[in-house]
Parts: sequence; structure tokens; C-alpha cells
Amino acid sequence: MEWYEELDFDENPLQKETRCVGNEEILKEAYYSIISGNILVIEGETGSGKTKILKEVIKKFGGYGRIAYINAKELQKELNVEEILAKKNGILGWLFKRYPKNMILLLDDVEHLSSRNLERIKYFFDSNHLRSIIITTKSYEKLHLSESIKQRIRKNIQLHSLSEFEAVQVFRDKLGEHILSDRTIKTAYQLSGKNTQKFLNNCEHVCKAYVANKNLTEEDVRKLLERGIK
Amino acid sequence: MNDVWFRELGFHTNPFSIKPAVFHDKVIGFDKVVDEISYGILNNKIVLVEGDYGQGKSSILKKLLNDFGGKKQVIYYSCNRMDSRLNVKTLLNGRYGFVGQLFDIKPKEMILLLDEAQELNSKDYERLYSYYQEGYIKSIVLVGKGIKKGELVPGFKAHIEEVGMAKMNEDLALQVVKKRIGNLTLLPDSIVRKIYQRSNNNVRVMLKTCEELCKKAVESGRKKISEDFLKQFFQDKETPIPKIEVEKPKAPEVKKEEEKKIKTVIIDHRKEKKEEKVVVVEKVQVEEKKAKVVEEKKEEVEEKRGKGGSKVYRPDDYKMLKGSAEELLNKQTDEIFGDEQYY
Repeated sequence: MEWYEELDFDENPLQKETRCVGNEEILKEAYYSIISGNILVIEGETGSGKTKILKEVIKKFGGYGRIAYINAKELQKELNVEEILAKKNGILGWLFKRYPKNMILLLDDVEHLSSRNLERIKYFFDSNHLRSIIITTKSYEKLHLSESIKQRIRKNIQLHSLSEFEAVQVFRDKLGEHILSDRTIKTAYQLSGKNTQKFLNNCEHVCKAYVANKNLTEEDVRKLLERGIK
Repeated sequence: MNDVWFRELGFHTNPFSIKPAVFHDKVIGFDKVVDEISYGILNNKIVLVEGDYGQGKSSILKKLLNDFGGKKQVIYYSCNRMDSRLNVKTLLNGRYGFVGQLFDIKPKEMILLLDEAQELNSKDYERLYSYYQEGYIKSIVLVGKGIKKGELVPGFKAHIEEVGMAKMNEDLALQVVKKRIGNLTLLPDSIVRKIYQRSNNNVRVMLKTCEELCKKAVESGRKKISEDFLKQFFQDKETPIPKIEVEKPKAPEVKKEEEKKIKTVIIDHRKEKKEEKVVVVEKVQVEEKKAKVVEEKKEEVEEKRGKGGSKVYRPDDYKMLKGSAEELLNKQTDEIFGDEQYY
């Protein structure tokens, strides 16, 4: 019997999709930037919810064939914005270089943009083939954007890691109100280095321990996680 | 935010869009420049236009397209799209579509508008010049920032006519804004002038600032932007966002002597202004202070975030935009450049 079945869940609740907690403001900015046709750069560490925000954007605006989502880490070869746009209209579009209009480009986890790609982006943005662009990255400085692109960017937002309060919200959202005390969850979050993804992984360990011992204390959690890190 | 600010004001799309010449074909303030370029084109010259970012170079080209287009005589090409070198032949062949490429048919007397010409090198120029001499190209307009004049072919130089960009001024900038928003009570003329003075002669920066300002004003429910509101807006903009790891302890400086002047140079990355602060402190105090500053900043950030955190979390909070996504997406600004490069 799996640990979550003991707690009356059919599926692993920690693998459920996380709601966008604590970043509502940034989500608003992202929606606004798409509607008003601007470029937005979102900066944040791994696990701070960059991809989450892009997924929310897709949820909101997806379904009309307007969004191109590219995860730079998954690309085999170098990114080519022009090709991506041309492929929108199928093989014929690619052959005859017919570009779609009003596309939304979401670039996830970009480390570096080559100057050629920057110029391409600039051209397609100026000529309205790209309506709006959202780029997420670990560090804005390392993107090495040219001056003319920088002027076109409306805003550069920094994502913060969740506060402890919000971490508790995330946990409660998934597992309900009755499991573990708030303080225990906060400790678990602190020990995960304030990284949401790591926190969720650790939660699984904590929950397993909770199933075995319903009176799990803060000290137990501390011991468990510190051992786990080693 | 029930709706986007510009929809509340009655605009369908963002009136301060920074894409060149989104809304109309008229270019404000560049009549003289456009005239000069037109004259050059009619006299089969090679026209060189240089200008800084955001001064309206692309908008001028758009205007030229409008003037000379219609007979499929004009080719617009942005040089930053080229893969390695400018391929004039395919550009010319493309005039007759697929057949033209197959049988290598080239039109005569074309007008070539090249945007971002700083990417061209001497080989490109050589090729351009040979087509120019053979009469396939009637006239060329090169537009860009910092065009490499050293790479120009000598023969090329004889035909060149340089045109400088006209300087924008307050009145013209005001006209640009007026053209976009009409007589809006929200944004009085005096405020637009103030914004332009702060944007470093760059129209694009001005438009961006206008957008931010209007957004903020509408969201806070103002009917008219006052001077105080503008002042507050710029102040907010200049104060940097508190970062947790702003100051790192400078170990080598502290070690040297007990009492010492330490210059800390704080670079505001946004403004790139340098401020110098002279601090006289003892060795021990330095470390204490830094620890304090870091802690204070942490608290500040926590406080700011605390505001969002204190309210009760409702899962549906983030769906704040009215209207279906399709509605929001489908209606759009005019199309700038058509699917084809030929006009």
C-alpha cells in the first residue's frame, strides 16, 4: 500500500499540478504584456516558478494556434525563431516562407541568445509577426541583449522564492488541512533551501514518515531531512 | 484590475505600441528627410540614412514604401534577417515568384530599401554595386546605425548621398502622442512635454514611459494625471528594487587598517549613474553594519511580500482579465508589412 493511499488519496497528491501561489502579480504582468503587445523578461532561479507562469499563460491564451512555446534546454540544435514561425503554416508555409501574424513567443529557460536570433526576434517583433514575447532566464545580465532590444523590453521582473507562509499554502492546497502542523512544514521548507521543487520532493519523504508515525514532531522532520541531504 | 487600462479608455489596442508605424503611414517631423530621400531615389542615387535607436528610421522606410510602392518596384529587406551575406539575386528573382527563381528572371529598375545596413560588409557592397551598374537596381536606400563607411566600394561612393536624421523636439513628440491618443483628458500636454524631456530624445522611451504612466493612473482610478503623480512616478522608477544580496563584504579593504575611508560605489544598473559615498567606519563596525543592512533589506522584502501573503488565497484570483482569450487575441493592430517584400 502506498503512503498516499493510507491518507485516503487515490493518486499521489504531490504530483498534482501546483497552483500559481504568490506570483499573481507577475502573472498579471504577463497577461498584460501579451494583450498590449510587449516584450517581457522574467528572471528567477530554478524552481522559482518560471515555467509555471508560462504554463498559466498557455492555459489562458492557448487553443488558437497562436502560441509558440520553446524550452531552450530541450532544443537539439541552435534556436531559430524564423524556422519556428515558418513551420506554423505547415510544410507549405515553410517552403514559401509565409510567416503567421500575431504570434506569441514563449522562450523558456534561455541562457544565451545569439546576436542573430536577437536580430531575428527584433525584426519579427517590429513587423508584427510576433505580437508579444516572454523570455524566462536565470540571469538577465548573462543574456547579453543588445541595446536596441533592451529598449524594446517593457519590463524585467524578478521572481522571488516563496515565503514560508506561501509554502504552507502550497502544501495545504495539495494535502488538505489536517496533515502536519504549519511549523513542521515551514521547517521542511527551510531545510529545502527555499527551493519549491526540492521542497515538494522532501514533502514526500516527510509524508511517508508521517504515515508511519502520526505524531511526527519538528525535530523528527529536521533529523529526517538532514539525513536525507547527506 | 478588471480590464486592461487602454480598453477602459476606449482604445482597442495599446495606443503606445512601440512597433514602428503601427497605426498610420504619416511620419511626423521627418517631412524634410523623406523629401530628400525621395529626391535621391528619383535621381538614381544611393541614399545613406543614419540615426540612433528609436529615432524613427524604420518608420521613415515605411513611409517611403507607401510613397513608391504599388507597382512592385520596391524591395524592402531587413539586413539582420540574412543568414551570412546579402543575396541580391534571390531578392530580385523573387519579384516574379517561384517562376522567377526557376528561370532566373530579373526585373529592371528596382528600388532597394535596406534596413539595418550596418550588417553589410564590403563584399555585399561590391555585389550591390555590380547589380546597380547593370541597371537591375535603380536606387538604393541604406538605413542603419553606424554604417561601415570604410567598407564601401570606391565606385559606390561617387553615387552616395548622405541624409542626416532630423532631430525630434518637444512639439513634434507631442504631435506623435496626440496622433495616437487624440485629445485625452488623462494625459495633458504639459505632462507629455515633461516625459519627453526625461527620455533623452528617444521617442520609443517616451512611448514606453507614457504607457507605464497611463497604466498606473488608470489602475489607481485617476481621471487626470497631475504633476505630483508624475513626480511620484519617476521617483518610484528611480529607487532600485531591494535585493537581498546587494552588498558583499569587501574583505581585502577591511583587513588593512582599523580606521579607513571606504568608498562604496553603488551602480544603479537602470540609470547607470554612479554615486559615490564616503563612509568612515571602524573595522568592527563595518561588518556589523553590513550584516544589519542585509538583514534590514531582507525584512523589507519580506514586508513587501507579506502584503500579498496576508490576504486569503483564493485559487481563482488570477483569472482577472475579462473577455474570452479569443476576443483578446483576435482583434489586433493594422498589419505593418505585408506577407511579401514587394510593393
